[in-house]
Amino acid sequence: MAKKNQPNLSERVSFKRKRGVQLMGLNLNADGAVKGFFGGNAYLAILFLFFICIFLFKSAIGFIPGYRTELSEARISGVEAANHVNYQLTGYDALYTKVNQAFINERRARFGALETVVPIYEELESIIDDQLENEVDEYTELDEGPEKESAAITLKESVRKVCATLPRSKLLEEIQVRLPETEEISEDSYTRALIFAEQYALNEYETPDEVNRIPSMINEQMGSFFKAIDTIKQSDDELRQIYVMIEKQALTTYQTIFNNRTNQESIDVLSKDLESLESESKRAVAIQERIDKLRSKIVEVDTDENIKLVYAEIKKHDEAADKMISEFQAGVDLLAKAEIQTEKSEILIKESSRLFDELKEISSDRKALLTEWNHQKPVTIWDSITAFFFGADWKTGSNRQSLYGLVPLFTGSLLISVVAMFFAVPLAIGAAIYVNQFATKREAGFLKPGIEFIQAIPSVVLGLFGVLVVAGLLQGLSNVGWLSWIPGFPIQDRLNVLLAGLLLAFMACPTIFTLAEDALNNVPKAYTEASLAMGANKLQTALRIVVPASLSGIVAAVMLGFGRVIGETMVVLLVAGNKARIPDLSKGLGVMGESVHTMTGIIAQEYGEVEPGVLHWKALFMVGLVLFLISLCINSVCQRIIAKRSNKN
Amino acid sequence: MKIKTLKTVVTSLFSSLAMISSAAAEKIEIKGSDTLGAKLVPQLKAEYLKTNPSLTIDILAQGSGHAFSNLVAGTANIGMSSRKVKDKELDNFASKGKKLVEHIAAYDMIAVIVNEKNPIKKLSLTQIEGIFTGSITDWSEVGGKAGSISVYTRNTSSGTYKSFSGLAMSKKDYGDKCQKLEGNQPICTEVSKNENGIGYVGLAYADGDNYKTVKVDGVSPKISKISKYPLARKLYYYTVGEPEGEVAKLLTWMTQSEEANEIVAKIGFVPTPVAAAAIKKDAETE
Repeated sequence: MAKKNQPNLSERVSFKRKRGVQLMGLNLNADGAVKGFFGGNAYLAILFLFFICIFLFKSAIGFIPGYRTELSEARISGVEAANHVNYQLTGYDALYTKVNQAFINERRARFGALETVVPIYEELESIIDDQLENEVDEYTELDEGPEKESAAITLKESVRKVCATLPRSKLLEEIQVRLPETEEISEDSYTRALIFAEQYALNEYETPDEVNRIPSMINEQMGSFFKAIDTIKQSDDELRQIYVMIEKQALTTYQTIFNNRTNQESIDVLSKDLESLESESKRAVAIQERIDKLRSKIVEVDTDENIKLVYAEIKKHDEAADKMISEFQAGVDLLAKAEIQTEKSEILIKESSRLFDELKEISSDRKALLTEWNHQKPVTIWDSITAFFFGADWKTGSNRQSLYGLVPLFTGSLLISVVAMFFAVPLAIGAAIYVNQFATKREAGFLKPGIEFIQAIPSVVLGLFGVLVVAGLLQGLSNVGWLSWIPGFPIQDRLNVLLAGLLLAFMACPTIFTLAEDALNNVPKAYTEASLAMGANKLQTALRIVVPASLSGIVAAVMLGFGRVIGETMVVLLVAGNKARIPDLSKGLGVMGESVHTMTGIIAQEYGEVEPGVLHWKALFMVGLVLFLISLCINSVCQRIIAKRSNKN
Repeated sequence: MKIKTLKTVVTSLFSSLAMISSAAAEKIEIKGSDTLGAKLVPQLKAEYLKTNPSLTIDILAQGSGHAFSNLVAGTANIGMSSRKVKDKELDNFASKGKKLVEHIAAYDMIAVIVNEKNPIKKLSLTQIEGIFTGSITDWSEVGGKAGSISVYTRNTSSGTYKSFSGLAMSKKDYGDKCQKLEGNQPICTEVSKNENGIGYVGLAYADGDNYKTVKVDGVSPKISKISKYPLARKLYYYTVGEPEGEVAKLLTWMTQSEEANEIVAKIGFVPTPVAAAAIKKDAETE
């Protein structure tokens, strides 16, 4: 049987040259076709890559000049000047909120008992909202007269009845959430709150003014602390007024210029469409109508005339900014006199004094910028490039000027990747060394495919798993007392750098593992044998001989893992928290508890709303281009490392 | 002979193609806003299909912006939007010679939600503006328990994002500490799990576990208060040209019929007739 099937030896070895079709000097036969098919596939991939590159560059390239136009419009209209003032005000806000917190904390600690009326009243108010809505509505609809008076009495009674349903102990609990020092609810405060609640019901859901006045009455008793906060509160008034004036003027000009430009662009596009149409067709008429409408919207602006007002305000600016600082300083001096009793307030005041130094710096910087500021100074291409690559704000869909600054996104992506690599590298490389050097065949038989299987999990599944399961676990873990030494713990925002980093580490593991394991495998057997023959044991051989010999491969594996992590979209979109703000590195490692936005996430999140071709759309492509270049760099460096290694071997 | 068979093959092919396309005419595609498309429209669809089983209705809800891009491309019959159409978008329609028609779908109220454990019961519009623009950063500043505020918002492709900035923040920019999430549900989830969280959602999402709505300027987000609630807005359906045939029937049913209005109210939106009546009534009393 076996003999029968055995082909004749001469038949096996002789490859007959198959005859194919001769076409233009090419011999097209079956072999050639197969070869051509494979070759074609390979070239198709390259062609595809080429097209992607062209598409990316083409879509992104218009961004720089486009952004330049918008920046110069912002300058010529004075919006830029308004921004300079606004930076100081934002700095002031950050500072004021700290001092205010300190003040409120202190006030609660000292006069909390007086304040209890307010939360009690609010609790009662919400009970009335929930349970007496119909009665109040009926009462409101009654006409003035004896009927209404008697209804008022019944309503008051029901208010008392309903309020009595809330047990005091529960009320106390609710109050303690806000004012932890409260020990009991005094009869006096309860009665006062109840009277307010009655007024609320009788007065068509209008909170009595007296309630709103309570905090300010208490403030009076806070002495010099209150005087300090009052001084601080008023210190920015003048500057804010200047800001409002500049912005009002500048924004009108800016928006008119902006609208004129976009309308003109629309008209250009529409006119082009119109050219190819017959003049009488329905579509042409519609287009013509739209063009006429757009034309009527274009208004003349005299920027030089409009900017005069801005300059007039800028003249006042320096004085106002100095006033803000000096008055703030006066407030701070008053603070020093005030007796601060609580530790928390002291900490907050200390923090605010650090912020105050920052504000001084911001203010003097911006003052210098504003003195030099000239609306006619041209915006160069270089300005636009720096504004993109070093801009600290990514603010899109704004009613004012949209800002496209890469830094918050780039730092976010980088931070997450670094955290991910911190977890992934030791894990994956350790696993690779173990599987390659120490594991028995059986162990390796399930470890290797097991780890590689992780790669098969779709990233959206992993993302959802992160949001629904891991986020909760991590938050729960962060609240465990003895773990509070870990930076960033306890976590407030469930979606943060640490969570994203952990999930991405999990995703990067198989990539690093597989490549590192390959690299270890490629170490010539002779090395190991020589080492063992010299008397080294297995651990020594693995760590001193095999790993160093494959180091370049391992480095390449780590870099490719990094590339995988920085390009990942779905997971970071779901779990990174999407806060487009430069992470606060002054927190040290605690920064891991913050939410960030990423380069990949921003593209996925924002491309949906933008119309193709507008500046925002191009900006997203610029971000895409940056990502592409990062990946390209990583890959080419890796290829070089690998090529170097194979040369050596 | 051969040519004849070829002819028959071609004609039969064409006729089958024609049949497919006529079957496709019974398909209505609705695309756009997540606020409308996540709960309301799918439920309306289910109800409508009970009486019109031959119809196919496809719904895709990715944000209001998609309504217009799909309508202009002809890949949607009805667009859902939680905001009015923008000028730039109108240009796209004009350049294709298309006319956009607006239909009011329902009224919505944007509810501001906080965690159940948060003692805050009400916020004024100024306080809300402060929180979302980032000048107020701690709950104690608005009368709550001390703790830094985590702000959750929709992302920029959402109509609600824009509406809220117009209604509650006097068109100011969102602060840079806002976390932008992918829809109403993620905001509910994050607020329900974060004691210091605050966010805004459509009224349809206002009831849920572990979070609650707050009164805005003393008015709670209830249907009866629609004329006084400061964060109320209209939701729209858009079509290219006046709707015809099945699309027209569906639209009239969705916006006017009793059954549809019941579903609208059940989900938490305010049906147009109810809202119109409430607004009219308040206008009369004043």
